Amino acid sequence: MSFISVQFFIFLPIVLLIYFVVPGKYRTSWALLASAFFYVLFSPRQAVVLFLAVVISYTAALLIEKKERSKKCVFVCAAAVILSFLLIFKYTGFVLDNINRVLGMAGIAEMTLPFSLVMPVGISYFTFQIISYLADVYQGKIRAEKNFRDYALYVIFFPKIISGPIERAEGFLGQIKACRSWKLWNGERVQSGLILMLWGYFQKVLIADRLAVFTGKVFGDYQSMGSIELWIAAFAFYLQLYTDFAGCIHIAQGVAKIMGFTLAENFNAPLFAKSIREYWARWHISLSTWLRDYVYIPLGGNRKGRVRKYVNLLLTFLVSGFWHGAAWNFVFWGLLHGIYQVAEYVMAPVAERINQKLQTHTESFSYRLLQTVKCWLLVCVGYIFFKVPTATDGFRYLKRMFTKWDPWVLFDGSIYTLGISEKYFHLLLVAIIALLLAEWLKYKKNMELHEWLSEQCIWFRWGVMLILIMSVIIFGAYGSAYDAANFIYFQF
Amino acid sequence: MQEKKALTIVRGMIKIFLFLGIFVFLFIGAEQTLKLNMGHRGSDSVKGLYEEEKNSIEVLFIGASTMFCTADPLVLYEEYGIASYDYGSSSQPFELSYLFMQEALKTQKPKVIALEMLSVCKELDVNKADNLNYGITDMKLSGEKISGLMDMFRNDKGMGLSYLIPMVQYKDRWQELTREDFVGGYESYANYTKGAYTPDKVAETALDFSSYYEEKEAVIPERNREIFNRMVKLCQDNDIELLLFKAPNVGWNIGETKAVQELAEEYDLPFIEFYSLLDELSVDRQQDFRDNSHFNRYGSEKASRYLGRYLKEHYDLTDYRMTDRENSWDMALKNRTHDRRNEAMGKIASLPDYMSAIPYDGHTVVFSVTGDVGSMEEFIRELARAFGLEEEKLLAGGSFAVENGICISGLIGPGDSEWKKELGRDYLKLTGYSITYNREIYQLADNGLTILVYDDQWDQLADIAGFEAYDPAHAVRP
Repeated sequence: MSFISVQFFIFLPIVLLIYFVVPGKYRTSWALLASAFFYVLFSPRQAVVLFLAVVISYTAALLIEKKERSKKCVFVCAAAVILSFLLIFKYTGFVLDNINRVLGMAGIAEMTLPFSLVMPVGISYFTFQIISYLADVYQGKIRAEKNFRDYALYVIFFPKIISGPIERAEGFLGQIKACRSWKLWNGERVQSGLILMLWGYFQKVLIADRLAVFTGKVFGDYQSMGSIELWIAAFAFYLQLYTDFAGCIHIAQGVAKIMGFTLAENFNAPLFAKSIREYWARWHISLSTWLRDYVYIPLGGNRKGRVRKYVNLLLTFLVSGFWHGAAWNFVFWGLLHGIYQVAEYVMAPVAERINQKLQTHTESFSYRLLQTVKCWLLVCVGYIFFKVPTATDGFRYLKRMFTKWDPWVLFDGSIYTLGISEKYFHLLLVAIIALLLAEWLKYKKNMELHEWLSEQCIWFRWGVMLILIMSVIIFGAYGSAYDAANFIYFQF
Repeated sequence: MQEKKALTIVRGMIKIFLFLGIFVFLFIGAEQTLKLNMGHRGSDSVKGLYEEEKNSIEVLFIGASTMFCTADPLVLYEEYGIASYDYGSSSQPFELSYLFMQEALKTQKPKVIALEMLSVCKELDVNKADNLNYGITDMKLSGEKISGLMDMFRNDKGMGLSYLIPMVQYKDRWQELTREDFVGGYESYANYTKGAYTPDKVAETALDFSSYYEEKEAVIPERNREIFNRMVKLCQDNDIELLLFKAPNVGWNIGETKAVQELAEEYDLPFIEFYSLLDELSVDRQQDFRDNSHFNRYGSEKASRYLGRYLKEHYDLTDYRMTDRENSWDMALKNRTHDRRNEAMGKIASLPDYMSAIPYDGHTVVFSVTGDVGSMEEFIRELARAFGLEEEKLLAGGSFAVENGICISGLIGPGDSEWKKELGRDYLKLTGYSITYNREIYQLADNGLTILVYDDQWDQLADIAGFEAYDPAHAVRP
């Protein structure tokens, strides 16, 4: 059941209605039941994996806390089991493909699995979440949760089970305990949740899914496209990916907010980042901080000299690439971002010296704008590898971006034949401007749209809400004429 | 404290209802604007039936376009006094015909249902949204509509639900909206053709029915058999006689005719197939067809006369022409006469014929004289005299409007200020040089006369024509 399915629009009101009606002490039970139902609808068989992961981690955490002497062993074993779920379901096919490639070169028959492996939905998110929980209990940062129901809800809470954010137990378990005593109805909270959801749907069906048609056409046939189309598609894919993922997160945050939970922040105006380092501090924050806390720092972080720091950075981003997908193009994408970061560190003193020599006003708007443009270019190049099927395709795409110039496509209207009509193109521009304004608000004032709106007068607030609702309804890419495009980050 | 809490709750509820109210208002407005008016493809017939007096229809025709281009209820009424109605939509799938039957029986109790069988051999293609939209869009929301859609979309109920909300089907039309979508809309949905669509357009070439006789095996899909069974049962339960017929179209095959024949025999139902009647009815393969699938006005008249005769002979039907009070078929006939008069005027080429055909009653007529009209001087003088205008001034150029035969604007010469009048939703503006109607400027003759005829009764432009002074025998139209 996706957030953009008809079933979800039936499921959610029923869940919320009962959630608000049942006495406080049953709220978590109901939320758990609804979450289990939500997940089982995706795939009943794979729900077994989730259930096992919850039971194993719940028991292991209690053991880690009880058995002081063997806690390391329990932690390592439990984390290995959880990680093995991820490795088996997500990476078996990838490993087998590569073994077969080698075997094929040696003229040996291919290996096949005697059974089919279907990756459980959201496995990348719930396994990372569980591992962080086990690590925190092991390090004594938090106490092991004794209430199985609360712990299970922490892992499978339906708004975040599919695409995150990757929640830390510390804050979320506390919210679960507190929700039993919350007052039944909080109009402001519900309104904020609804605005968050609306903004999420606006990003998803109005921007991401419209751009998806365009990027799908260009990337799908990149070998016959000119440089201009390829550049536009590269930028468009960055925006598509962002609005798709941020849209999903906003919907999840909105649903959670209505239910009284605050999910972790996952984006902080990444479109205005001026460097790759800043970009990763603003993009997919729950994953970045997870990788920082459970990969980069345990590897030694920046405490073991400059070279080790760079190696650790590269390794961390390799893990990030692998996490995103079991394919070499994702590995390359991760490595590329590691290289970007190392290069930024290495080049920082050089850039500083050049700026001093040229007396560049580094605080000026234009300088910052150029930094942002540079960041966009680097990120967009990286995402080409994210979108294409193989790393080789990525390089070919890059080559064409510089070798097939024909600016006439900007004037002869052929750009409008790539899946988005001229009117939709203009509409998209308006929607993207609205997106940038909201991003600017976040960047400058650290305020989400719903927070800013709550400070405005009721008529303005309602006006914006109604515009959002009607825009989503009228201009959104949904209905019988469209293939329901799922959220890109669902697959991870 | 309690009071304050109660007040907060009440205030909260008011806000919610107010917000929802504004949303519903905007949603309905947007949906009405975006929703496509199917015209003869569905809207006219579907909306029209709701306007019919309860239990006034005795013969109900159901089916796709081949049905409403064949059976003309006004011919049936004019010549046999039969109160009938064409209830169908373009490319109507067989499953939808069953839904139409159910919907019609909510307000009507016909003695006979005549079912056109074009779609009986085709399975429902749920991916052809238009085929369903034509019929579904304007049908009122009801339990039957919901269950019918759920039944049609057994494998994708979400998709079925989307047909209940026209907004979902038509939202992408925002790109193609015209002024008509914003300001259009009927005041009444009364269907003056009683569902029929019989234009006088003639097919470009004669229809070749030779492929009809190349027998191919045809099978009625099991699903359609099941639907047909439901139709038969529905008719039996409501004491309605079911009559099957098949109008001619290129593409249908004798094998399919035989399949329908067998079905009819299985249920002991009468079946009229028009292929074997074409010669008997003296149907011209070109002049009586609009295209490869449909009769035109002339063909439909022949087919309807046959149907009328058959219905009169086989069923006990009332002659509604004999009733005392004027009924909606009488009204429809009057409107048809009116409509055809407007239509005929649009085909007149010469100025003298045009002048004598102008229906001043219930019409606003506008004349605009421009340029050198020396060669039609006498005519212009006559025109000025007829409406009490200054002859010399009109010869120098000018415009004037006539309502019910009386000049209401006076003569607007080149130097005079413009004259305006509201015509329906639009406005009419006259200057000494041109006529502006619906924001379009008309000056169809550089040296001659432009005439605009507006039908006040139907609130629509009847015709606009220009006549050059040097060639008044050939009208110029926009």
